Amino acid sequence: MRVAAIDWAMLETALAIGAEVVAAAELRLYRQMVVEPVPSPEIADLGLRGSLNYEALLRAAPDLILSAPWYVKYEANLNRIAPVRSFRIDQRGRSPYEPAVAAARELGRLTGREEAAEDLVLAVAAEIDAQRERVALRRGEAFSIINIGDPRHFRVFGADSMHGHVLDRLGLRNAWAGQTRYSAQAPVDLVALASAGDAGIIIVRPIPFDALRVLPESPLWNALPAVEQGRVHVIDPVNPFGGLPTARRLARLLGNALA
Amino acid sequence: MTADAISPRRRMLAVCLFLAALSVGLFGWSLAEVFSADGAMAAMDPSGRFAALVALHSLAPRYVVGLLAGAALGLAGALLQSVLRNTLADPSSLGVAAGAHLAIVAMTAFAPELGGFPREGVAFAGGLMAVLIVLGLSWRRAFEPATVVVAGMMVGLLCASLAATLILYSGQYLTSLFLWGGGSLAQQNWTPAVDLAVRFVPAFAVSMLFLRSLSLLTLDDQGARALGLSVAGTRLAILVLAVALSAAVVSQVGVIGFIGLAAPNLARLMGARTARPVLLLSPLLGALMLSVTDGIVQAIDRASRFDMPTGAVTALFAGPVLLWLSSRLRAARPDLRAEGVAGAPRRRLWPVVLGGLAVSAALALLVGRSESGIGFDSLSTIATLLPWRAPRLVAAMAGGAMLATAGCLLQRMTSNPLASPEVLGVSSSAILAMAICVFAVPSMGLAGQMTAATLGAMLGFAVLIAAARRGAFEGNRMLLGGVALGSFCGAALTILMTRGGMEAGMILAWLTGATAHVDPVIAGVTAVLAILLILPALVLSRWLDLLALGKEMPAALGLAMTRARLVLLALAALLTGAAALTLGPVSFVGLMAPHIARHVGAADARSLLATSAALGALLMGVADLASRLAFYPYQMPIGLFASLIGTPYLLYMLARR
Amino acid sequence: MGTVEPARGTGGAAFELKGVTVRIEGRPVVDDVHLTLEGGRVHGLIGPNGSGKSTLIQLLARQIPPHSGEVLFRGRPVASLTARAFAREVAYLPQFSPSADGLLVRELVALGRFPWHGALGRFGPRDRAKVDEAIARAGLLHMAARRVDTLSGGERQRAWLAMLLAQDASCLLLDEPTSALDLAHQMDVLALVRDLSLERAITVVVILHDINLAARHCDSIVALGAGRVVFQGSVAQVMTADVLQRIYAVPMGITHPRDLGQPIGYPL
Repeated sequence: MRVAAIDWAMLETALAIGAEVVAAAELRLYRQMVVEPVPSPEIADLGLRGSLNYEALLRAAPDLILSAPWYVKYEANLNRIAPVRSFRIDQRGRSPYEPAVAAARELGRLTGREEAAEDLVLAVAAEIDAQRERVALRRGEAFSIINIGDPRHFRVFGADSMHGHVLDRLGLRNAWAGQTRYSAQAPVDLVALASAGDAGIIIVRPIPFDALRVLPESPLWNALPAVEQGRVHVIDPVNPFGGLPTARRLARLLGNALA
Repeated sequence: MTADAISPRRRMLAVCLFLAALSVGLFGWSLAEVFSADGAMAAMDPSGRFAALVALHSLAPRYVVGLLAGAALGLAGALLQSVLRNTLADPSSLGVAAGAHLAIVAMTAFAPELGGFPREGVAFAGGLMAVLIVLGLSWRRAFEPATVVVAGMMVGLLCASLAATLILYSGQYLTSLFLWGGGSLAQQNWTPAVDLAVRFVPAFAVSMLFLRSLSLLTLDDQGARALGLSVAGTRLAILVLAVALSAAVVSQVGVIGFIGLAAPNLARLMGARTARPVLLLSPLLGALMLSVTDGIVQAIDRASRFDMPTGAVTALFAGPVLLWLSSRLRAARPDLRAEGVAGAPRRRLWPVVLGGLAVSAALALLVGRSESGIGFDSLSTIATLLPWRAPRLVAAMAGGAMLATAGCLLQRMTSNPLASPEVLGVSSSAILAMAICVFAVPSMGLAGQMTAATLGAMLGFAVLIAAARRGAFEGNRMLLGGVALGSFCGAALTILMTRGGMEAGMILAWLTGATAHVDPVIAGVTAVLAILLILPALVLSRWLDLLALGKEMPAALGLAMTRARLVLLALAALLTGAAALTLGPVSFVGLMAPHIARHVGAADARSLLATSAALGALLMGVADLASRLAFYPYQMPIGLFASLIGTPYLLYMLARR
Repeated sequence: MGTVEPARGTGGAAFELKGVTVRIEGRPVVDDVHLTLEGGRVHGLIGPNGSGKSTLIQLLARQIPPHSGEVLFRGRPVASLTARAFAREVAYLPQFSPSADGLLVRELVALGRFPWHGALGRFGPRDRAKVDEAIARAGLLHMAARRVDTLSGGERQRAWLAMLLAQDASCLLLDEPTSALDLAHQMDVLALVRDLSLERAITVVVILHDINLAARHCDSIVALGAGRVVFQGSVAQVMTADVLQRIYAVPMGITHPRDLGQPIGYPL
């Protein structure tokens, strides 16, 4: 079963269960932003998610195309090449973890790799549990997980993001549990971080160069309780709209940062 | 007479005092909010220590930056307006802001480790480059106000489209650039405030030194020269000063629309007539206007907990004000010189144009790129790929032909060689409608989005008609109405885009065109639309022949002008909207094709229309092939590709005497 | 200056203005004008700058509507005709003839047939004949295939006149057709206009700056001053020191050169 993935969450899931992935969208950026599982160099790049190269997809001759609701308007075209399966993982006001588990199982069934999928589900749960033990000392501590937009704005990951979910599962508390909308993709003024009180701060890379230059000199940034008390942690890039492998990566990175 | 009972000076004072009171009041409110007992920070900050820091390092510098940026933009606007004798000029309408924005996006994408001071230098270079292109385009028309604004709009669109492409190709890494493109005034230290002050004060002093020269420049060039002024040198110096001021603002807080346009005009409205009071009053009014707007934006932010970009909010006002100002422009004296590109000797064009069309179509269908490089594909590959290549080629060519026809109609109707479908604002309103739809119903399918875009285009068209009707669809009024509509939609789109997330990425992809996703149905619909809309244009070509004869002649020959213009404008808007759905909002094909057609020898309206349409299809066929192959498997936006090929050629043609 | 047959069987008056006023920014530029222009004759419209000549001719050409009063063409309000029907009767050449943007002389002249065939009608043999005739009559046969923007000023003006001829109207309205021309071409163009009027019984209203040029080529003179008709009458009636002084508000003299059949006016 040759699989092509338009959506990154499904790409990482397919790679993680060892499906035969022949083509995927925007691999250049995937290697920077999602990092793992590492796609093999033989996988054909399909170009931008917003401007798919159907010729490259045709040449890859997939038997199944993995998509997401974002790309619903391309499905008619994709269907001309191979059957399309669309998976909804991220949804407003709901943790993406269970949908990610269901998507992995469904993908395992579709590609005849049910066992690998089941293994993945168990491995991710095990990883999360293991990391939970590593950070046991911090149980109940509150954190904001943020992505820095520019020196004055950041995005915060709420309860309905994979980031928020994993934080919970590690026995930590998401400082923004109650007040975000939709993975908090809307930018917020830096000052609003103060309203999270004593919560620690976890910054997900990449950090814009401007921010690296300006933030250390900023009296406001330095006055944030987390910064004053040295409770700022930086972790490597994580897919903001990820699947199960993202949950595993997040758990590991958070464990490494906080243990 | 009663209106004059209040002296202009006292009226000025009253307006300034009112704005100042409002500005200070809003600042005070934001301070009070931070320290209030039930404010967001009260829980974690009972001592008020953090609140004091916020007041000192965020709110106060934000207020000062608002004042300084407004003052700098007001001054830049006043300088640009007097040096170009154009009440519609400002850093946004001349493309300065867009050029600076593009330069910074490019720097962030290609050399992010720079930053800091080079950023301002880069912004300045980008802004200056943009304004020079705009002036180069409008030079042949003696910098006539409407022409300058139209050229500025197009350069701005091109820059925005390039910036969108860069953001798209470098991914989420540049999300900050959305924010920055929207012009947020949020601060967290005093550095930007100090930087702006250090630039504004000397710039203000220098512009005071130019006061006399500026008064002389309000005469025409010959008059100023006769009085001993080095016109070109002075003009360039003032231009550079104004661009430097806006580059400083852009690099500190991002793109802020409208202030540079409105402040000098408000000053004049309040009775400032000569260069001196305009130059003194504009920075003051600019400062007050921006700080009041920002105060209101902050108040809304506090209620909604969403940081709105102040610059895009001010830019929302630019469209309506532009429209109002354009209705007060005095009609330009009829220009007796030949317009645009001098025609070439008549030639038989059909063999060449049709031949080119066939060759480009063949190449676009047969050439591909695989692991082994670029080359003709094997027959079996072509057989597989044809159902994919043919629809996008058909849609691209049909779209190119429609845009070229629309451009031809507009250039003929307005006698303005820079008129182009892009400036009608119809495609911008289509994209805005679609963007709203994408945010509201993220999972809507292609058909739904196309429907929304079509409705948006029609709504935009209705607004355009309403705006242009008051001017009896006279050329420049019509174009400025389009520019106003386009800038309003652009600002609204920016506000939406700063919300970021997957939706913003999807809209960005739309902004660069949807040729990649054309299926046989869309291709068929586009082709049928092209035929249905281009044919009437050909049939009505006699109207165009007459309309090229100026203001009075067509009516004297029995043409019902208002009705003819309405029909042709409707046709142009429909052509534009239909093409924009697949090609994206920018391509410049509508601008270029008619010029090339004239350049190769088409003169009367019918052969001009037919040749332009064929050339538009040809250009788009080539662009389709090139955009597909250049960065395989990544595809360049086709319209942008066409613009990049065409702009240098266009500049060359327009600059040639 | 014998009276010519009325134009194509219509009654005497080609145009009648009844109490017509046009205001620009509140100021009357044409002020309560009553005027009758007889058909089949050449009427010279003269007056100092700002006297309302161009506005008056634009009223006749239906380019602008009056704020009050009535403009009648052959006894009917000009507004009652459709645009094309009016253009079949009345041809108008504005003061600034636009650039014809790459058109050939023949193509420009052919545009004059628009009132007859409209946007969609066929350009038939009759249209072709009219165009040929107009080109020949304007003396442009040898340059019919030249581009208008390559012609000299006098030739270009004749090309525009040819277009008006092809329009086949019974009435020509010309706003300073000679302003950009040298002496020889001025005479040339006005002689053509004059001959046409005689040959085809066409009514002509022409704005001229030069009173002597007007006296030489017109049948009657209408003099405007400050938006009002100061004087209307035959050339002989105008060319007196008294009347000229009234029109131009400077002392004027009259002389009768022996080698010219008409008097010459000049400022004293």
